[in-house]
Amino acid sequence: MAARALKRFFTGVGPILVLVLLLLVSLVMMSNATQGSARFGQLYSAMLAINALGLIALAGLIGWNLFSLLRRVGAGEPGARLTVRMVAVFVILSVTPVLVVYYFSLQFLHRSIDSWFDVRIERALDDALELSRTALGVRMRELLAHTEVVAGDLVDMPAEQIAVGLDDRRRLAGASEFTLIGANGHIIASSSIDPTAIVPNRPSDAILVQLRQSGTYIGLDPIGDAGMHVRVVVGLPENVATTEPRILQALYPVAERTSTLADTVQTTYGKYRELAYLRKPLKTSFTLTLSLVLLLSLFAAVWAAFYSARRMVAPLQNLSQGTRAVADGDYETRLPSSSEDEVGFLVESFNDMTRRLAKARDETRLSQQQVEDQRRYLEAVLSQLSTGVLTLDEGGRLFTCNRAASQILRVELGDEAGKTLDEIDERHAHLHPLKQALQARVSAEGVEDWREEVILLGPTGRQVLMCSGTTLSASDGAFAGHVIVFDDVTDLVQAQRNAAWSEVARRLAHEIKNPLTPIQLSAERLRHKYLGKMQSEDSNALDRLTRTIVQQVEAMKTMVNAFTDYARAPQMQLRNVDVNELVADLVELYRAGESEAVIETHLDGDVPPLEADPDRLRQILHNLIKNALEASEPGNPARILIETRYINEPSREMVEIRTRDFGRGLPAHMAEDIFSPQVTTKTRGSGLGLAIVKKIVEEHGGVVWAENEAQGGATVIMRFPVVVAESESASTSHRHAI
Amino acid sequence: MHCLESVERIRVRAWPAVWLAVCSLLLVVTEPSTSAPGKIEAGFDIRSARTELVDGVYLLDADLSFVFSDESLEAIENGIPVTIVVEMLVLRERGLIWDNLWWDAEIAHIEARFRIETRPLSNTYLLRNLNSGETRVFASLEELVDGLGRLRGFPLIDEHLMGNEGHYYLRMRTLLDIESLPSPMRPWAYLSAPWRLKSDWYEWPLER
Repeated sequence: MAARALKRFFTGVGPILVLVLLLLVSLVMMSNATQGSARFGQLYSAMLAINALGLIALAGLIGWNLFSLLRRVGAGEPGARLTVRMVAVFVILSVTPVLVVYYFSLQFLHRSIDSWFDVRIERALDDALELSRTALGVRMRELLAHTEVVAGDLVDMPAEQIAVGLDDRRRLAGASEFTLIGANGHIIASSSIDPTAIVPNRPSDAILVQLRQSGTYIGLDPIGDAGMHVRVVVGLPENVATTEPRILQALYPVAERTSTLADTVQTTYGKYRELAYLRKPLKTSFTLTLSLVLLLSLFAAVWAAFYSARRMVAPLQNLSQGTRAVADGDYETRLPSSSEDEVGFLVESFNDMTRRLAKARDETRLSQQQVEDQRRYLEAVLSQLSTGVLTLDEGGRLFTCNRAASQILRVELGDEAGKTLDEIDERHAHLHPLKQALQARVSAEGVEDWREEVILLGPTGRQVLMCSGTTLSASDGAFAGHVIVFDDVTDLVQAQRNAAWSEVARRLAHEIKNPLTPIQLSAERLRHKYLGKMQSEDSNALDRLTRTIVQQVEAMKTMVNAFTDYARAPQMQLRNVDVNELVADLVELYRAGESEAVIETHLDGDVPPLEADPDRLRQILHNLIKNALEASEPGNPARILIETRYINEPSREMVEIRTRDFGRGLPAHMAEDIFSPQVTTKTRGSGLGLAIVKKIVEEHGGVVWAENEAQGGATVIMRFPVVVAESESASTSHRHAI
Repeated sequence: MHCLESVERIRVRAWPAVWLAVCSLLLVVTEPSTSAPGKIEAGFDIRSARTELVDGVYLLDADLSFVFSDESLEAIENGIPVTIVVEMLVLRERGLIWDNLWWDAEIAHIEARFRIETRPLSNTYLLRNLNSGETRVFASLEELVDGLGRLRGFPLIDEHLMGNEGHYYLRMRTLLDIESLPSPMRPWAYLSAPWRLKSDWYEWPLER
């Protein structure tokens, strides 16, 4: 928390404002120092260094800002390019006027400095200095002449009077000090106007050198605090008495007024020369100060540009990031609202939008949940239905199905979702009749509700499906596919048929069988009673007639027994039967008999054992052979072809038995009803032969149908499912129930 | 006491150091001393220095050499006052017991400051001792430089300010004080080699 506050403080506007203000103050002080302010003069270098460091810091800050901005542009961060544009605009807007002002200020500054200097002032100052020199020069020459006179007076003066003589002459000359100096620099005598002065002023070595060169020295020197003095140094003429060379130094005070004026002239001249010399450095210095001000303004403006751009772009960046987050599905994004302006309004609108989106998403999620719950509920209901339900989409592709559908059709329909009926049919051939029925309905226009019975021969045998369907409509009324509902009514149909026909057979047998016995007994009784009593011709007739009656009654009994057999439906004795062997045995019986019929067999060696009741199978074959023999053209020896075949398809295994005759074939209108009990093409027999065949085949879970052959004759085709071991018990019990 | 009065602790003058740090890069590109062939190269030097104990005060006699650059001479001729600093350090060699182990102890830091001025009225040069206020007039700059170069009897340190133990030595150097120049000249003086006139440190033992 503290670190964040610290960071906010340092990245905020405060420190920079403080820095800029400090630099401004420093620049003002520097400017004053440049203009000669004594107070800031000593701090000039410090100010310059501080400003330079401050500007370097600002430049570094701007450099860092620029680097970060370019890096953000490179990384394609949202808002970076906008920041660049805004910074560029701000910088151009702020820098251009500053540069213009800088240029004209510089021009003005240089001209102002140049205007300080005037040739006439310079000449006047030179003249003033020269005038002062001239004025002082006249006086100095007078004093030199006077000093030389004094020196001449001192030459012959006895040593003991020199001090007094020197003092007298100093008083007369109005000098402040007279000093007589010996050859080795020792002071011989001295007289001073200041009685407290103990040590007289000595001429410097340079003066002594000049004295040696020119014999005299005269100069204008400041003497301590006493002000300007004219210093005159002359050598004393040599005489016989004193062999050592001596010099006399005289100090004459310059009149106060003269001294002041001379000082003023000298100081002003010196200042002017100094200023003239500093002309270029001054220009440079002012230019430097102005440049520092310019740089400070520029850097501050550029930094302000960065700061403002960042501040202005920040909400847009937030908006961009927020928009991305919303695009990624995060509707909980809320942006901080920082201002009351249009951007703030935009941020508020964004927040409002995300709130609404989140609300809408929650509602959608809730409604999805409800739909999902509804769907699960329906799915649960459908899965518990024993009725198969399929839906097809607009393109006729399987869309949904329930568990019962898969169970009824013996196909895992879940794997077939999205496939067309043709594709499903290719993978599951036993569904072909269903496909044909559905396609006929689905492709038919204007048919909404329909109902149809479809018979399949599936892996577990024959199935009768009662299908009904309707079209589905979307909420807008558009066509949305089909729903097909079907039930496996195999058992129901079979049971109903069996029950009906059993009842018919039973009643028929009962009604017919009852009078047959009295008829037979009466006929036999007639025979016994009247056969011996009648003449041979009559007895022959009676014998023939009664035998006929008895035979026909026997035949009728047989027929009634057949009905009884059909109705009785005894328990089947299932065992593994070798179909080929059974066929061969039966055919052999016929061949061994009196029949002239030619029975050919084509037996498939791959036929597996069939779990069936062998007696019933034998009865079927017997019935069919008998039928075939009866169907043969009269006059020609009958020809029958019996074939067995093993059909091994991916979803089912079957044994097919085909019995073909070469007779007239079936009438076209009877092909489908030939297996019904009441239908026959023959004048003899009960007409139950094929009905019993069909009954037994169906009891074995198979199907039977008849086809006319193109070359003549008809073929009865039976297919029995080869029941797999695991479903054996189920199918057994199923058949037992039948 | 007289000696104590003359001893002036040097002020903390950090600005030249700051300047040197700031302008170190610029110094690389500045031109070397523009001395013509056959001309004596501008620079300050200490030829000799010795101390003498007189009445309990160490007095310094030194012979200094000052060769001004053309730029500095031009400034003097144009009335710019130029300050020469003679910086002296009395140091005691570090001992195991009474000093730290890293550097020698500084006993005294004395700075003698002289200002060279011109007097256009009399065409003379004035050498002002800024420590004592004493002035000397010279007819030419050469004479002034000669006079400045002969430092005689400069009171250095009172004998009592030094302890009895240890070995003492002196360090001395002369330099042109850029900070005393008018402010407009200072930035360029710091950046310009002809203005950075300074002698090497001269070191000799203090004879007791």
